[in-house]
Amino acid sequence: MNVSRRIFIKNGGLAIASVGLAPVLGPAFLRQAVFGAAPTSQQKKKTLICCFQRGAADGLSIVVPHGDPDLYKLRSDIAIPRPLAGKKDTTALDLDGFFGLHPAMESFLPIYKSGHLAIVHAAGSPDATRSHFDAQDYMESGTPGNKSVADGWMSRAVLACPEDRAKIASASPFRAVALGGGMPRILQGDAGALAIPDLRSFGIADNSGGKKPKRQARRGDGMTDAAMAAATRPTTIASGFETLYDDAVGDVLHGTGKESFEAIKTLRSINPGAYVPANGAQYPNTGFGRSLQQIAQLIKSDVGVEVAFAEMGGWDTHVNQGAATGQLALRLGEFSKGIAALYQDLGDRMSDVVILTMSEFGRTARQNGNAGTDHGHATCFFALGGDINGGKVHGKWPGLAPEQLNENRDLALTTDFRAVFGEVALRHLGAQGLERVFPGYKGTAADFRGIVRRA
Amino acid sequence: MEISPLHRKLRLAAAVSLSGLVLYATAAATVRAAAPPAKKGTPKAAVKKTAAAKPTSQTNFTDNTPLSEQQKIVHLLNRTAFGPRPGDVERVKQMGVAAYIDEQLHPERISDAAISAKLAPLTILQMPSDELTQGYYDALKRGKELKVLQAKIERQTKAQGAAGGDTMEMTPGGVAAMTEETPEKKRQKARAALQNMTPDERSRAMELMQGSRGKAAYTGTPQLIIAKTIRAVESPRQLQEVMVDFWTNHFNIDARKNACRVYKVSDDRDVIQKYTLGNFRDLLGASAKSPAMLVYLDNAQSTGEQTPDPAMGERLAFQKNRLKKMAERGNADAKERLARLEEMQGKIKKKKPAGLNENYAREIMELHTLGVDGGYTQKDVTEVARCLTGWTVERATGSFKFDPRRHDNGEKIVLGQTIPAGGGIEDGEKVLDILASSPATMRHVSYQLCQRLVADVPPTSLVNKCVTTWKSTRGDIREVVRTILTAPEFNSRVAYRQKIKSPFEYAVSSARAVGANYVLTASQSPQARPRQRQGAAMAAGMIGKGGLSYTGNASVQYLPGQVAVMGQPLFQYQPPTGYPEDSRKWVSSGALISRLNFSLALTRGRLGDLDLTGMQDSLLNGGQGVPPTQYVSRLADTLLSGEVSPATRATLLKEAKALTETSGAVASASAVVPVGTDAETAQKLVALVLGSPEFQRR
Repeated sequence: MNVSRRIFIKNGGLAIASVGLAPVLGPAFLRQAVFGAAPTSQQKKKTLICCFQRGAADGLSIVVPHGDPDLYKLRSDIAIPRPLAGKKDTTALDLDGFFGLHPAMESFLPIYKSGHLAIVHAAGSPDATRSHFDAQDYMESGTPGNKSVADGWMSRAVLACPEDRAKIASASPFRAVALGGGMPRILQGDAGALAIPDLRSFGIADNSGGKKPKRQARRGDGMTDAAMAAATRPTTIASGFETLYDDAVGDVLHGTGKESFEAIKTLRSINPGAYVPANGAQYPNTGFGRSLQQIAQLIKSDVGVEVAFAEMGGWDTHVNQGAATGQLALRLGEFSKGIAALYQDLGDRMSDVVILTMSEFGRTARQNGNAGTDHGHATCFFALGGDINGGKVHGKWPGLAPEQLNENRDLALTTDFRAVFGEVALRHLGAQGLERVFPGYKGTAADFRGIVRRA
Repeated sequence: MEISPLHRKLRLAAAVSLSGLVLYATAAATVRAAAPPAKKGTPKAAVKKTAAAKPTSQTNFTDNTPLSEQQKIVHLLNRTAFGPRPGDVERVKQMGVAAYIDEQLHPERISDAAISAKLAPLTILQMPSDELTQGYYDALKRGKELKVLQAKIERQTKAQGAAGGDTMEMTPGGVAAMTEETPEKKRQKARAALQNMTPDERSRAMELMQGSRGKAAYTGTPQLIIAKTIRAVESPRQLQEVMVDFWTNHFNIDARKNACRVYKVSDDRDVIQKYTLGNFRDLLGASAKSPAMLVYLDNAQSTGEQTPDPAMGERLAFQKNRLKKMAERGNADAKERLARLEEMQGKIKKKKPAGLNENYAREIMELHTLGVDGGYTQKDVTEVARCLTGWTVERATGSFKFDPRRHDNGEKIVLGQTIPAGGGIEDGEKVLDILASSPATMRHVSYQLCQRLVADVPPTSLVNKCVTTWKSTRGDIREVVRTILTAPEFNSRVAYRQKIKSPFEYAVSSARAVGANYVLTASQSPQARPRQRQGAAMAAGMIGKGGLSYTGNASVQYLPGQVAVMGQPLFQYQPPTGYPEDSRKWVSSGALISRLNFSLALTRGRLGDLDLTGMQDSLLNGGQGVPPTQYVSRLADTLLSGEVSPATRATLLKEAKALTETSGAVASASAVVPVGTDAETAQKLVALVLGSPEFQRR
């Protein structure tokens, strides 16, 4: 195993500390790294995975400020109760005496305790918009308030990485990938990202010439074995399509076609249908779970992934959002189990991977008339990985008293999302120049919250 | 995390080190820059390979080589229709472009009998809203009662210890959402439960199961999807269909949300289709009162602060006083009545405070009318939400209802205009008037119409013309569309084949190009048995509980499922924005592969809902004995109206030769090659044309 020794020499002290604190929970890769991994000469390529919670996730019920008495005044029906021993299913899971995780997110707790999961609270976009569309757009372009920037910040982050690495990576169509659907704004741009709805069916399927559909045994996820096998098998017609798009020089579709066919060839060799997650990781059987599993597979196949993106919807909880159980709890269960499975599945590789979560804005601090919450302002983000200075909640807590709220209704913002994304892009991914990744951002490295470990 | 001094004590008690404290730096307040008028159309979409994807520049609209007459017709059919069917170009040529535009602008003058006959089996779409709604809620109620009965039996069985783990496993609420129950499992559970019931319980359960066709029987979405597909593929009223598609997207509703699966039927029929080429204020008003919209964007639940009715208070006080006096005099009855009255008052006070929901108020301004830069503030959002309180749905009938008890009857100020107190339902009507007549609305909606019909970044001159027409006709959509279709900008060189087809446009235009017709594959009757109903949902590209996950799950054996896999599940898009009008958003590798697979599935005859007799006759059999060069030319003429790049033509020719060679025939440009006898070769060539870069554009 090619564990990056450099990283662990850098972080050795902290790593030992965290292993010492929670020896059982410390991931294998850390112990290995600290207690004698083979040295390697070459710097391992870093990977960043972003998970977007579309619809504005309610930060106040995700990482619950149970130490803030105002919370319970604002949310008589939907606040997550203060942590109570023996009631871990119905009360917040305490992190530090002030904050607690939503009880549906139990799978995050061991990762937090092992020091590889950090939280930034009261974070988000400084722009005041409460439009999902605009706020997502800004968070993905990385330029709040400015719509004229055409590309996404993840795409720019890849391009801002040192030239030699970019060159190596440019050979791979998988350098920047989005799983689960179309091309997200965050990856649009010159990095030539690839959007793949599902790895297993990514190919030209020309199996049964001239035959009418016939009944086939369906797998749990609606894919047939035959369809999956056929999708990645080389076909003569595929070469015809390939030539068509090869020759369409000058058309926007030319580049798209070229990447598609390169990717198909690579995928054929890694056989996505036969993937078994490592370390007993169990992904939720949902679109989001599948996307994360396939990201893990791509990373483990060494096809050159630098940045990857997955998204999950359903966070727009205007009505009956629930508390310890209910609508939001279900979403959070899926979300955290998916990410925890990814963390587990990647195992040692997490030393070079950071998983970052985000949502366009938070929700109103007060519950609305329908036991739900309306569009708000700041929320909370998670960051996981070997490079992450975890086991703590970063940022500054603004408080929930009426005069402390944003416009007397939402959690106020104390951390610009660019300070979080920027820190990860620069200090983990190795991008150079904050201004290149976030044009127009007035902040500097001094605004970083220290979520990435430093030598 | 740094916390305010107020919380520090608590924080220290937690024995967590405060090291690593980071000083809070005020985030620079970012001023929102002025942006283009339409949000969906902001020229921000970075398309991969920017060099190749130069966004349409506006300057080119003034001088360019004019389109040929043939190109104008093809262009018209690509924009006002879902692409040409065989013979369409000839027909327009004969009647003339102007006459065709006029005909399409008046769909009511075009006979639609064949389509109506074809849609007749889709009975849910013709059911009155109240019947549909009652059926839906009855089914829900029956389902609930049955579940309660089953749960009771399960508890009893468990208590007796008679049941092993194999009889019934009721999933605790919620867990089921993660791993969906198969219909088979559900039936097993029901059967097991039946056996453990008392005779009375069993007969009631049987009754419930017999009567119950489940809420799926009243879910309109599969039929909506199929009807939309049939009309798009075959209706002669093509502009009507294109515009219905536009407004469906503009007033987007995700039919998976609660009762929207039922209410969307009337929204589609009585709002979108009805006013598609009508007056914008009428359309907006109908949408605002549409139960589907009221539920989708939560206005149905929005409740305003009550201004207490002073007369009511006085009456109550008088009554209480009177009863008190009577009770003091020893009247036992009065004492009891007083207690009841006080209890009632207490209950009213304890009731939850009024709840304002701003969701619809925001989206109606941002998406439906003014546009995100239309000059409204958060305060305006709240005021509009207040005006619209009480606009809700009457559950018994599934129709719009104004509930004065929910309405905030105070004074409001919307976009600078005062709406006096006590207006009742008129508050909302005034808001709609203000929004529909705002210049920002005219510009925003015109911009989007031009995006749909002309170019991703439409010329400002054209948008201006639309606004002028809008003003002079007070929002007559038909006339605004006429302005677009008859403007010189419409026929500009830059607009020609500029738009990338959406997945729906791509699938439908493919079917039309090869002359395919839609075939109903499954019974769409509400009386159908569950298995048949599942078939109906599958034919609509839906699987499971009337829902559809965005990828992998739709049935690719049918056209709508293919559309879903390509990234555009119909009536099932969660964000209120609708799909982007900027067509460059549809360009991505994954999407392209799905399109190529679609072209193969179609030509291979793997789409069970398409009748390909037309293609068989004209394209496949007709190719018999035709040399590859001629056959390729014929395909290019039929499917691409002759508009094919030299590179594509060369590739097609090469493939034609290679394919015929591999199939054993000897090919050369001069020799007569029996292409037609080799159906597979012909199919592949058609697939290549439909999958070509040229066919991705309209």
